[in-house]
Amino acid sequence: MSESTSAHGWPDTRKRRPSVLAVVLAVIGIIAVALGILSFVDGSSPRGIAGLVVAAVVLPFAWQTGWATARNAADGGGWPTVSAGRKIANMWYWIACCIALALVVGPALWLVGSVLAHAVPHWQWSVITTNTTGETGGLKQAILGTLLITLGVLIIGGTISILTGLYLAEFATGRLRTVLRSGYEILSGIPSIVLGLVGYLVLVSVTGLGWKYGLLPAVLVLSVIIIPYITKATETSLLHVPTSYREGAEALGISSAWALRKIVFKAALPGIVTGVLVATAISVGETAPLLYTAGWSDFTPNLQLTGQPIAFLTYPVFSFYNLPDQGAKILSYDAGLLLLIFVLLVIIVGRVIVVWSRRHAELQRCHSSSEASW
Amino acid sequence: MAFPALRRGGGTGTRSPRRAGDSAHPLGRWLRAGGPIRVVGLAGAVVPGLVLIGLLIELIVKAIPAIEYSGLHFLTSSTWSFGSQYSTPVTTNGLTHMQSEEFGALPQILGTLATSAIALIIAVPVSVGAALLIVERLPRRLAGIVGGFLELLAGVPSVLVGLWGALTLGPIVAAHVSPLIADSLGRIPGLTGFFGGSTGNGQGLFTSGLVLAVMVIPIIASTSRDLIRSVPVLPREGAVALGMSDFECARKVTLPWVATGIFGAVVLGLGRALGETIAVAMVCGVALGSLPTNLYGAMVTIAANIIQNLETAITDPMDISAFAELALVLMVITLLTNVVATMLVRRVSGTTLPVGRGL
Amino acid sequence: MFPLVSEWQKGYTTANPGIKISTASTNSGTGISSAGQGLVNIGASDAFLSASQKSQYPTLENVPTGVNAIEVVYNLPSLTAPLNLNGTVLAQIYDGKITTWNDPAIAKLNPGVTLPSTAIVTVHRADSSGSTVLFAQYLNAQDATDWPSSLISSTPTWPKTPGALAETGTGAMVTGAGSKVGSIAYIGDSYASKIKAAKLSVAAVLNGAGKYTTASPAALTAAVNSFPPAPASGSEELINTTAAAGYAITGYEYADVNVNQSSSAQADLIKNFLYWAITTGSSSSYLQKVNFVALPTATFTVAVNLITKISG
Repeated sequence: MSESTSAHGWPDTRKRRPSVLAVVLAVIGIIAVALGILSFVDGSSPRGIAGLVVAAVVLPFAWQTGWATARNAADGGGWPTVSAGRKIANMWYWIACCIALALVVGPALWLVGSVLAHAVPHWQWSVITTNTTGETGGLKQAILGTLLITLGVLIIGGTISILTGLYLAEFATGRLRTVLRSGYEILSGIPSIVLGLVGYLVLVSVTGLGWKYGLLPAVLVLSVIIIPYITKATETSLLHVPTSYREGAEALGISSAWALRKIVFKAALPGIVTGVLVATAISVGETAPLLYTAGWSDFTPNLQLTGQPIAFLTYPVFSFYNLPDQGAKILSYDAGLLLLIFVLLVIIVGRVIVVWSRRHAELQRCHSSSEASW
Repeated sequence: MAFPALRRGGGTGTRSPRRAGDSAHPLGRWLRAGGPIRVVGLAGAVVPGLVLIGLLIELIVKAIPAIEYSGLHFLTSSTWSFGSQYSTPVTTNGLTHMQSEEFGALPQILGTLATSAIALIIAVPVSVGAALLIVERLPRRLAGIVGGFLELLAGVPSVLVGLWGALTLGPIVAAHVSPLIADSLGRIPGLTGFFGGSTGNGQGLFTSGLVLAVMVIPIIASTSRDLIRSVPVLPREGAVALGMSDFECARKVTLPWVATGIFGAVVLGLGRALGETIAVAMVCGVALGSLPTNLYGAMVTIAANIIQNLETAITDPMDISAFAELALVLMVITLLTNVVATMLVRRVSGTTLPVGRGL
Repeated sequence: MFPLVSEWQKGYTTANPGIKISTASTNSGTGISSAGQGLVNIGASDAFLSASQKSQYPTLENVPTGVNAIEVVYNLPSLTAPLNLNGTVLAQIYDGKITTWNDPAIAKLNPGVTLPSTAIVTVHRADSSGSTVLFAQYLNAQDATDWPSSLISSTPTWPKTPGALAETGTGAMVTGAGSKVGSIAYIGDSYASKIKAAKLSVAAVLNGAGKYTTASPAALTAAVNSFPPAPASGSEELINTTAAAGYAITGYEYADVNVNQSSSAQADLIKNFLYWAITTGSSSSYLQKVNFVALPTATFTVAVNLITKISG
């Protein structure tokens, strides 16, 4: 829009008066704002809102009409008139977008701020070094339990996912590929509570396998939840490896298995690792399925696979947050703080990997040059 | 004696000793072509499908008694009752259940749909507007920081969002926001029933919708941002050259270009909102068996009901059956949403190609 | 019940180092189902096992471990003396028929008290609760028309009342009632100290003899002694006592245990703990902290017999 930076500079408004209409509109607008604010203070919100709405409609028109008249007149009327309506609509559009951005960033800040405000002032290092006893104590066994569960999920779920993604990207064709892909895509749409319910019925309860609460049921259910994420990431990053890599490998006589292992997979590794990080964050933050498969325990976790309930970090947040004990509530916020720290770690590590992979991608420069020549 | 190079079935004579035996033996050929990884990969790739099938079978088998017992009543009735626990079980049509046990899931189904609808109504304009601002106006560094916030919000566990919603947001909504809305929108005739009335105690439909919106916004916003960033510069420059304002450019060039992508992101967000359990359980007020009278009233969703009462239900086979049926209904709702969305995208992207594609 | 279990855990593990006890405060329904399935060793519940639960878990038994009460708690800081409430009024409050504190029905029970016009906010348990069962049994005993027996359940279909709060867990009931002026809730008396800390008042409840009593240890003892001794199964209803000084909403606190344990060592551990709970754990030093009352002699014998049945 070239009007705001006119080659003629600021119009010489000394010589022309703004139109009468502009002045009238401006006065109406200012009165509306004043009345609106007074109504709010008085407690009558409808009139307050009505006043502000009237001002919001009238004042921009006043501004545009007054400015345009003066400007147009000063320049001798040579500029094409852009309707005030379009300019005002544009102004409101940007204001709305700014409000939208504030609404996006605001809750994030508020959430993090509230957790910090409740957890940091009462923080004690004993939270990390002692186990929970009932509704007080620390969170050591919960932290260890979460780490153990996440490790198991990455081993079992991660292996299956990477294999699935590998097979789908490299070997599957046609109908088989569509069928297998829809298999895990439908799985990604299933709510985690449904998976927790089925896990409870099939694995934990005596009506199923009767494994009772334990590490293995929790790991299996969480693995099913995160399979779609890692699979998608593996498949996408493998598909993004340029065909020139594979063609070059074949031209050099490298067997496809060797090429897959040493060249293609390595090139796709940053994307896969990012997917694994996302899955880690999700499995650390899950509550509903773990409530029915891991149970809860005050004991430090051992490596027993079934029959021994295991603690996890999201349980205190869910169970202790509305207890009358101040200590229990603080424990709940402490668990929240630990979860937030973990999520931050995952994000930072993800960013580092992205930056590192960009710096170490040798053919990046060749890529951009070849694309520019098209 | 014959020229080694012309030997049938072989390559050139200059073969590296490492690869001896690879073309001659079928096993070697299989190994070279990645045979083992193929087998193992296939074994891994069928696991998600098998798990899905097993899940469906288990749920359907477990749900059959309840389906027989309630019939269509399940979807239309509002009474959800486990019956008089201390009476003797009775048998009707071969199904054992407690007296006056009734499973009507209508409030739960409507609650699930209503909270997701409110979440999307709030989240979509906010996310798309923020994405437009990030891509078109924010300097590089600020855009990176905002992107970091989006990632943070996306990674925050839902139980933390529920904690914030229950202890921080809920009281403020009850004390300030709801009275404001009830006072203003609640006075418009026709909307009084929904927006007016008792403003509740911060635990209800409105707070649940807000909490879900907070969880859905990062998904839609980051996808929209990536999509809008991918819109090529030429059409946008053309719009400016024609004298369009930023608003008109966004309306007529940028957004139509990425409309199907944003729709896909919205569906993804809807899927998350429909399945969200913990955060909603903490702020919905768990009013089983009745629909809220207005926007601020307590309600319940399918997922919140399951998480509250699953462990009790396991003591009674008919109750567990009812919960399996609930889970099936929730799965059907989420799957239907995905299928309908995929069909719509396929239909739309076939006919409306944005101007300039292929340049 | 959970405050008492916490005390027991501390005391027992101090007296028996080498034994570890993990506790979690959930709800009675979880206690019964988890104990029945063997997911936990000991479950706790305010309500005895129902016939259908017994048929579902034939090896599950409920061992009485103490006597507790459900207090009716309200949040009206302006009132100093405890209000008198009876089953009819409470049933109508939770039914939605009585909606303000200065309703004539409440005023009739409390002559001379100026009742505020605050709206009544009912607080109930969202999860499966034995406290709900005891409370519902009392309402039904005093007013079967307003609170029929179909509403006696750990998860009844609560009638719709304006602004009702549904809380998960007894602790949340205290927080919920404390957060809203005009609220009324039913909370186990082991949370008495937390009730006082939240500045909530305790009502005097009408018993079967026509007297208004609060849940003091003497009132609990009078109530429990007015009923015949517990049967061999341990399940007995102690609601609406006809003893003049007895408290109306009384019940046994049950430990739900599976008679068949995985090993004899495990069975011995559980038996020792339960014996300790009804002897040393029921001494005044423990029970005073939580306003429980020890088992009467006859019920004590029943409990011992039930504990002896546990084997591995």
